[in-house]
Amino acid sequence: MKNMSEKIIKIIENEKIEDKSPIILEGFPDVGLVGTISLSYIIQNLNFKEIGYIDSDYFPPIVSISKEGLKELIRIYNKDNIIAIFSEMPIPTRLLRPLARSIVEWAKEKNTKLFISLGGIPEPRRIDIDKPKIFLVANNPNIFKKIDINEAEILEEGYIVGLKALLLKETKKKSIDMISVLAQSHYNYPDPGAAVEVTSFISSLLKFKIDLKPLIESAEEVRIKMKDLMRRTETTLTSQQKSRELELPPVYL
Amino acid sequence: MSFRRIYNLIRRIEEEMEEAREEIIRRMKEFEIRTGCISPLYNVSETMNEIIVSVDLPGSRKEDINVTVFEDRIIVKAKCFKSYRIAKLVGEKHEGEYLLDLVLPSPVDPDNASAKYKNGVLEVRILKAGKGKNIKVE
Repeated sequence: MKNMSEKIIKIIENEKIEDKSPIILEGFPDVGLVGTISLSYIIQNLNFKEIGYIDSDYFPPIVSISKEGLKELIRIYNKDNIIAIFSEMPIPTRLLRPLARSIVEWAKEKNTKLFISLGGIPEPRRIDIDKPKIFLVANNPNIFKKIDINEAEILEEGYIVGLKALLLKETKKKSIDMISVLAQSHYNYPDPGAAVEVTSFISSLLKFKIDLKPLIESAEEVRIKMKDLMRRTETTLTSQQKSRELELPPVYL
Repeated sequence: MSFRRIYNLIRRIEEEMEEAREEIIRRMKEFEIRTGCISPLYNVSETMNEIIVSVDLPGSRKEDINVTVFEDRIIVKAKCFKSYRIAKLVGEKHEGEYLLDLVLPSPVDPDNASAKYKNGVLEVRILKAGKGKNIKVE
């Protein structure tokens, strides 16, 4: 199975990552594009360097065009012992498992200290919430003894669906500490307000300074620009049974 | 049926669903380019008595939003004051107009509707049409 996932997903480093025990941040498109907005803001504002990408023969045949040249859709960035995996493409459901396995195998090779997934948790009453709450999920409850969770709440029951669920499972198997940082978010509207809360939590957790004012001020532009990606992401969320994140598990045992 | 054949069948169904979704997105984008109007993201949910339509309208103002409710559909038009380029090859950025014309999942009473616009999201709540009749449980 290991060989199979390696064949399907390729992680290419254009520059060798010299970091020892890095922290990995992940922001694949998901509910409200919270992780994608937050991570792209961190990468841009802290001047992360692009050092690699993720590719597969099974991905749609797309390349992104920018002033700097052609860009892969799933890119890897690095700065100060932090690796960021950013995607401007929702992942087809059938590729989620091989992708999660490959990323976690690669994270293990890098001797990753902490894997952090950034995202949103759907909140149907989001329109009435001015400051979204942050919820945390860990693959091992002991992680919460090691980190400062500030005002965030630990999600004690519920479901996590999609790539984040698979990453939590795979990192647990490989004994890599992982947390998911999830802000209350619109389900299918880009939510920069939720991304502000996630970014603020991450900057406090990892102790870096970031000015959130430009993100707050450009929220409407971000929502308009991200509309098409949100529409595409929504179709993949449906096939992942994402609505389960609104349910409680039947805990009888 | 062998496992391989079942797998191939599921794969084919998945591909057909992806193609159908891609076709919907292509049509929506083509509509935007042809008309210059923005198709907003939206959500429809139901309670026992109401249909709730929520529409993402960033860059608009409540005085520039026009909502018309019919017995079976809703039309939302709104100005977008943030410059927006509908597609890479279609001219310069311009202030656009949102347009949503949506068939509702069940008949409603247009006289019993309310709307609010908060943080760029419009929420319209409309009472469902018809009154139920209580029946005795035996």
